[in-house]
Amino acid sequence: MMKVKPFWDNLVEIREIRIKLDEHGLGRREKKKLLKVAYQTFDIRIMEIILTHLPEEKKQNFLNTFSRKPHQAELMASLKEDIADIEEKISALAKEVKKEILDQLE
Amino acid sequence: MKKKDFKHLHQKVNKLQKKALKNLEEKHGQALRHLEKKGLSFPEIRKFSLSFLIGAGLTAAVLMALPEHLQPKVIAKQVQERVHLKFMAEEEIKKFMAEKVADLLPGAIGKITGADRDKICQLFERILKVDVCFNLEGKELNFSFGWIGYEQHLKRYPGDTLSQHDEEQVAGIAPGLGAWGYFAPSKEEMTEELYQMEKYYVAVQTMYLPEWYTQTKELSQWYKHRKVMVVNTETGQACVAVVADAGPASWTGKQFGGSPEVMKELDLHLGPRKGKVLLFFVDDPDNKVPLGPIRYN
Repeated sequence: MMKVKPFWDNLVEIREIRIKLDEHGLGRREKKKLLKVAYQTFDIRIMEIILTHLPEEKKQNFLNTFSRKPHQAELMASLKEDIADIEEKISALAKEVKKEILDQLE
Repeated sequence: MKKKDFKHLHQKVNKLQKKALKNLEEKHGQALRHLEKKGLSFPEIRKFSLSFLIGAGLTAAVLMALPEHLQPKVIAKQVQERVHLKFMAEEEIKKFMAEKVADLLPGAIGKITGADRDKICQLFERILKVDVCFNLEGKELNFSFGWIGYEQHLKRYPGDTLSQHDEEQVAGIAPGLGAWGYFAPSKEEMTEELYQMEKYYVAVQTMYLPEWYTQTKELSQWYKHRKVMVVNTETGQACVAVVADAGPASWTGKQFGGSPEVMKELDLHLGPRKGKVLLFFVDDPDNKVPLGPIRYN
């Protein structure tokens, strides 16, 4: 398996989560496991917001491209044409999800 | 942090993830099934399968032919490394590893810090397929890079003598017991696993851990027979062992001790009988990694 970052990855900022995990004195492997679940939570929630706002007739094309090239920056450019302020929506959601994760890590 | 605390945190974050996934399935199940048919499944979207290529024996030419989007730099480097290693003899791989590690090591002995500690662990994980780390379950030694010295055999059970040890009798046997006492209460209760533990043991400086005197019982239990991997940084030779003694004293200038067999496998059993090594914890909860030398091929 090779790792691929989805095209929204630059809008997800997890520095505070890393700091919180460091504060807990977790080992590298444990931090890695928790960060993996954290990233998955971001990905699920972001995909939900995209699918919720994307017009029905645009979905199949988006999903086809995403399944082949989930990292492709052009996907964001395409979404911007179909969903107003999608970048801002994702950024705001990512902050919200980060807060929820940090609350769980208290 | 105690392991149960990690589990507790993991459960909490996992619950959040599961809730989000359930919500996504309820609202957009059709879209998820469409993606699954195309080979992309939530929540594992950050993984792309390349196994069919690697399993088929990738060549550099095939790798170069991959479309650019399938060649993230780090992954391409890993695959190239495998391709490269496939055609190398064990001695060449050891040299290759020693050179790679040398680039990442600090000038002086001590803890490995910063980004290099992860790079070093990942390098060994990739090549040796052993999960190693310098900090496991919040526990970390004062030194992860230091000098190892030659130790004697340890008494495994009451009445054990040097002549009963089958190898490296030239090392002699320590007059006292290891920090954790005998390996078994009697010769009859010795098992093959315990024989291997004495054969491949290390001594680490638990007594100098800052929290040793406030958490002695917990730390003593944790370190007893803890599995580690020792790597000779000059030659790349590696050996898996367990912690079975405390030491050496700081005045010796050494930070670790190795059993006669460990030192032999690291090629440090002759001459000054010491050398610079990396010492990792092995994350092996199912006890699948055997003790002894690691063969690169």
